[in-house]
Amino acid sequence: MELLLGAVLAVLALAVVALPFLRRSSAAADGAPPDQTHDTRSGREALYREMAALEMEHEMGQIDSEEYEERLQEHRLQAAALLQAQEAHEAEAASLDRALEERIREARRSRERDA
Amino acid sequence: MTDLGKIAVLLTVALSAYSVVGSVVGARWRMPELVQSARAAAYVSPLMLAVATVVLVAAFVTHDFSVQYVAENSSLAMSTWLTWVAFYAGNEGSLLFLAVIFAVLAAAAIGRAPKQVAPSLPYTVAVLSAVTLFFSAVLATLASPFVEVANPQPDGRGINPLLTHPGMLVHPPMLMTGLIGVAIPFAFAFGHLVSGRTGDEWVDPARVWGLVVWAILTIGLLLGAWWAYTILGWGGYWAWDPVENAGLLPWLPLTAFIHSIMVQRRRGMFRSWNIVLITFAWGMAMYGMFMNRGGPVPSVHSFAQSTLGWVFLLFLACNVVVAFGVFFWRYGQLRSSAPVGSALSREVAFLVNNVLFLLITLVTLWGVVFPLVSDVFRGVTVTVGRPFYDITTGPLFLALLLLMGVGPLIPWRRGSPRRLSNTLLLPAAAAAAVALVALVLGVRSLFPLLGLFACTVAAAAILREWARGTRVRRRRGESYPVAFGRLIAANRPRYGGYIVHLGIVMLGFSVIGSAFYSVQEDVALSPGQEATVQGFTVQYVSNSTEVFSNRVEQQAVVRALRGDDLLRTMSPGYVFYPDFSLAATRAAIRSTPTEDLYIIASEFSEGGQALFRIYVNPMVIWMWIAGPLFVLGTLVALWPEKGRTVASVMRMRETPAEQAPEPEGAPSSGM
Repeated sequence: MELLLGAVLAVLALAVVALPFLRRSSAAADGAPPDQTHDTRSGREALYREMAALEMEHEMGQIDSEEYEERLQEHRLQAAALLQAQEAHEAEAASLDRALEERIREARRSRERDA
Repeated sequence: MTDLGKIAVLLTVALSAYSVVGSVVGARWRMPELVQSARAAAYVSPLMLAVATVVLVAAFVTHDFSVQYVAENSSLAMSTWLTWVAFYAGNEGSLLFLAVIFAVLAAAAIGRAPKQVAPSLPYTVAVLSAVTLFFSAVLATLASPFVEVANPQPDGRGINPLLTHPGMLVHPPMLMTGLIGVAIPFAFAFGHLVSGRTGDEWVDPARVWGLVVWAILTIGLLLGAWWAYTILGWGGYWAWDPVENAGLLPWLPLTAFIHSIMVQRRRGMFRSWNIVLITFAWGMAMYGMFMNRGGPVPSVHSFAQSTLGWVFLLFLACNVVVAFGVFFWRYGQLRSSAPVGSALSREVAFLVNNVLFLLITLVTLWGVVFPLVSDVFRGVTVTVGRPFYDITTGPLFLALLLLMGVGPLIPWRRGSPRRLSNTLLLPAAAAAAVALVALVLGVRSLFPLLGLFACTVAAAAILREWARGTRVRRRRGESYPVAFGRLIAANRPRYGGYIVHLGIVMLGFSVIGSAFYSVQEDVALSPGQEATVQGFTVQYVSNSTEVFSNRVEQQAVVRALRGDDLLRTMSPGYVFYPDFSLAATRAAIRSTPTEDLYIIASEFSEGGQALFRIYVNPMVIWMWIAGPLFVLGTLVALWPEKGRTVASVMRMRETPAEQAPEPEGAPSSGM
C-alpha cells in the first residue's frame, strides 16, 4: 500500500515537472524578455516616491526651500527624461504593431489573389 | 507508514536536484521549457515534504513506538497538544520541520516574485532548491526521522520536560523559520548577481522577504527570552548562551540589511554592500544551525553532539566561498548610481547604523568562538560570559539607540546642521528632563542615564515627527485622525519603521531597568515566616507535594504584600523528572508596568522549610509588549504602496518657497 502511494507521488511529481514541455507555447512566453518599458516605469515610480518624500521633508521643515527647489527641479528633469523614454518605447511598439498589421493584410491580399 | 515518508523525502531530493540543474542549464542555454519545469519541481517539493510531515505526525498521534524518533520524543502519557512540539523536539524532526517550512517559503517566494526579476529568477530558484536539496539529502542519509527499531517498547521515553511549555508551540518554529528564511533574500541577491543584471530589480523582493524573516526571527528571539524567563527559572531572559547567540548573530546583519536596502531602493547606492550584508546574514544563519546540530560549544538549547554539525559547517563554507566568488566576479556591475552627497545625510546615518550592527555581530561572534580559539591555542577552554558582552556590546547598542533617534531626522542627500539641531531641540530637552528625573530618583550610574537619554531622544523624535507630519497634513484640510492615517499610509516603510523603533525603545527601557536595577535575595523560610525585598513582603504560607507518573511536583503557597496590602497569592514550584534526571523550577511572577516580583522555590525539606530566591525586576513587561509592536510595524512597512501616476506627479503643486513652514524654534531669517 505504502509503495503504491509512493508510486502515485512519483507519477504526480513527474507529471507536474513534464507539463511545461507539453505546453511549449506558454513556457516560451514565460521565457520571453520582460516588457521594454518596464525599466522606465520602475524608475519613474522610484522617482515619484522620492518626490513625495522630498515634499513631505520640506513641509515638515527638515530641508530648506532652496534645497527643496533645487532637488525638485532635478527630479522633474529626470521624470521628464523618463517620460520621453517611455513615449519613445510606446511609439516604437505602435510602429511595430502597424508594420505587423500591414504584413498580415499583405499576406491576406496575396492569398486572396492566389485563390 | 514510514516507507511513504522515506519515499517522499527521496522524491524531494530528486526534485530539488533537478530544479537546481534545470534552472541553471535552462537559463544559461535559453530553454524556457526547462526553466519552467525546474520551477515546477520547486513547487512540488513542499508537497512531498508535507507528505513526510503528515507521516511523522501520524506516527506520533498513533503512538507508533516502532519509529525510533517517536519513541525517543513522546510517550503514552504525553498530552495531545504536545504532539506538535514533539515533532521538532529532536534533531531529525527539527530538520524535517526546517526542510518543509523552507520549501513552502521558497515556493511562495518564487510564486510571488515580481515580473522585473524574471531574468534572474531561474538562478534564484536554483539557490532556493539547493538549500532544499541540502536539507532533504541530510534527512535521507544522515538524520532520517523514519528509522524503525527492531523491538519496539510499549511506551516511549517522553518529551524533554523543558519543552512542555505553551511557548514551545511557537518559539522553536519561529526561530527555525527565521534562521532558514534568511536564505530567501540571499537567493534573490545571489540570483541577480549570477544573472549579470545591472539594475536594482532584486531589491524589492529581497526587502519584502528580509522584513518578513526579520519579524519572524525577532518574535522567535523574544519568545525564547520569555520562555527562559518563565520556565528556566533563573530570573533573567538572556544569558548570552552560545545557542541564544546563534539566533542573534543572523538577526544583527539582517537588521543592518533591512535598513541598508532602503538606501539602494531610494538612491541606488550601497549595491555591493547590500550583497555582502545579506551574504553575511545567511552565513550567520547557517552558523546558527551548525551550533544547534552538534556544533563545538555545548548549550542547553543544542541537540546532542554529533558529526551532523560539521556537515552544516561544510555547507556554510561552500555557500560563503561560492557567494563571495561570484561577488568578486560581478563586482564591476555593482557600482553605486550616486555618490554620497554629504557626511550629514541619511545615507551616511544608515552606513553608521550598518557598521555598528556589524561590530556587535563580530564581537558576539568572537565571544561565541573564543572557547574554541582558546582551546586550540592554549589547550584550555576559556568561556566568556555576560561581563564580556556587557562591556563590549553595551556601548555599541547605546550608540545605535542614539542613532535611531537622530538618523530619521536627517534628510536624504544632505542635511543642514542648523536645521538638525533645531529639529533635535525638543527630543533632546525631553531626554534631558527624563535623565534629570532619573538622577533625582537615585539613578547614579552613567550607562543607565545615557541609555535613558538615548531611548527618550528616539521616542520623542518619533512622536515629534508624527505630530509635525499630522499638523502639516491638517493644514491641507484633513481631520487629525485622517491626517495621521494618511501620513502613515503615504510612506509606509518609513512610518512602519518608526513603529518598530518605538518597540525597540520599549525593549531598551526594559533592558536598562532589568539589567541595572534588578534586585535578588535568597532566603530560607519555614511556613509562617516572611522576608522583605525592595518593599515587597513575601509570606510563606504552606507547601504541597504531588506525585505524577512522570514527575514529582512540589509547590509553595506564598502571599505577596506591599505594606499591609495583599497583592497576590503566588505558587512557585519545583518539579523533578526522574526519567530524565532533570529538575526544573517554575517561577511565580507578578508583573506590573513598573516591576516584576519573581519568586523561585527549591530545596523543600521535611519540615516544610524551602529555599526562596526572590527577584524584583524593573520594567520587564515592556519587553513582551514590544513584540506586537514589531509585528505591527513590519506589517505597515510591508503593506503595498499605491503607485502614483505620471499625471499626479506633474500636477504636484508648486509649493512656493515662502509658504514652507519654518521648523520650530528656527530663526525666520534663516530661510
